[in-house]
Amino acid sequence: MSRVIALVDINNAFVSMARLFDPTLRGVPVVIAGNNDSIIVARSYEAKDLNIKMAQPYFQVKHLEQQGLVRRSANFALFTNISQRVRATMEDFSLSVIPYSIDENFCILNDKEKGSLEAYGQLMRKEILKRTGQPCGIGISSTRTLSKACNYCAKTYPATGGVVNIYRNDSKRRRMLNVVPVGEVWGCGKATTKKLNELGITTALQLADLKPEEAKSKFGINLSKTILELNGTEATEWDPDYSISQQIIASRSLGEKTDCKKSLLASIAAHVSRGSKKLRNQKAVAKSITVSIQTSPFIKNEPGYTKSETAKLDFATADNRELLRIATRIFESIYRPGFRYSKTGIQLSNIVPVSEQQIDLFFNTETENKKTSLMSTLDELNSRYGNGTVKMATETTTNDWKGKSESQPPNYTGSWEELAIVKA
Amino acid sequence: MAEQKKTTLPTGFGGSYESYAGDTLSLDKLVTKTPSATYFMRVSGDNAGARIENGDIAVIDRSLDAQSGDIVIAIVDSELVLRRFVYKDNKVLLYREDETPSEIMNKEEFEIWGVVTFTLTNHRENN
Repeated sequence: MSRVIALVDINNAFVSMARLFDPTLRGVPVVIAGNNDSIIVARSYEAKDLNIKMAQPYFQVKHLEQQGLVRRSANFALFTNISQRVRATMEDFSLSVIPYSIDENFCILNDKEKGSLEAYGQLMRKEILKRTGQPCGIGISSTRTLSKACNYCAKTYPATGGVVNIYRNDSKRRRMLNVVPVGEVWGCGKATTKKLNELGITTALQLADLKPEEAKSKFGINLSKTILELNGTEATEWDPDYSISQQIIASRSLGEKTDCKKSLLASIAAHVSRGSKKLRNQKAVAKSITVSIQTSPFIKNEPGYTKSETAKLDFATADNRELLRIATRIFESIYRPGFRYSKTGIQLSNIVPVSEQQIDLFFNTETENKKTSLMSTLDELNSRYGNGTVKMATETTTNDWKGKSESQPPNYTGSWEELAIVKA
Repeated sequence: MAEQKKTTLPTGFGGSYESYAGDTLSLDKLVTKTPSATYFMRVSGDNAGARIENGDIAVIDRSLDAQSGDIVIAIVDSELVLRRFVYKDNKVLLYREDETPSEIMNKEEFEIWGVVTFTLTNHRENN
């Protein structure tokens, strides 16, 4: 018996999230910019109507401010909080929720709702909007790939009311797939889409009707799995197993030899970011971190200095900030002025899977969960919009560190000092 | 609330003493009935009749439907405002209690953002 799988996708997520506490952003073109306010990472419908593109540099559209365009920066603490509220609301409507990204979550619905699944989806959609202010599209089917396609239709065709359900309705499945371009199918990248188009396959339905064996020989195993899913059979992994490495090393020669503490620390911060991301990719945590700094061994007429030191953490973690905090402390203790350093590095060791993370008396699961979700938001954005879109403050070497961007929405849900103001 | 079970072990105070551990009142639990829908806002200005003062923290539950008589956060002219919501003779009134009903509106002219369930007043200067 197949499961009922729903995909809930927040429309224009970052914009919708910024709008919750700021009514002045409603009904006007809004974009959210990342990477020092320079790259557009989310657009309101009004902004899409102005032909503003995803990932477009902001300076190219700045002139549209005359037409009312408003820019806001990202506030990931706020966005993550609202995303968690959406998930929590979904929990109340489903057997389980499987987070996929900050704006997309799958959930398993009880098939006793069958017959009224669409109405049930509408109910969930309404409640998410009510509790969190987030407008969503919902796709319901028996596989994740189909639910994604349903969701595409829910978003593209307003007549659907934001919910498309094709669970156990084969003729509806075929009609739906017929209007979905093959490039919109989950798992069809640009290259695959191009190849499929050359074979005359332009709709998801045409892809679904390909023989899996044929697709496997021409395109590989993944596309044959996609085809199975488009035909209603679950074929993709929910929890792929990651192999875990024993240690992670991140080091690099500096572009220019320097004794500047700030530049050295910035390079270490970048190493920590890369290293901790590798940890998180493996769903692992580290219990030790080593920081090393050295001068060039090839320069004979200068005094040399090489030093590394290891610290054990109280709790194993993959949290960038925690690791950076410890790395900074080690650096401060091993740094000696008066040397021109040529290389810095970090090493993460004592690595264990998150599932084996030791939990003791002082371990605050709630805080850890929050950290994990903030970190996964960070990784997700960097993988979506390019590395470095979101960084730790220490990673920026520029001296004109401006502090918080003026256009950043306040941390309405996470700081008593930044609450929304309501006029009595 | 944790269940209070008295043990009958003959160990002096030990048994019964331990079984009460963990019963600490939680303000969070008192005011946050639906965590996914509960938000806080800072009140600016006062609404004396509703006994709400400048600087108070309002607790808002968006999962509730506003009933006539509730204090609500509404959006009027793209601004968040705190008002009493009254439904009377098929008309909706939003009002500040120290004045005569100030805003009588059609439903299309405003939106209820959420229902205020509690407010927190600071009674000491240096808190």
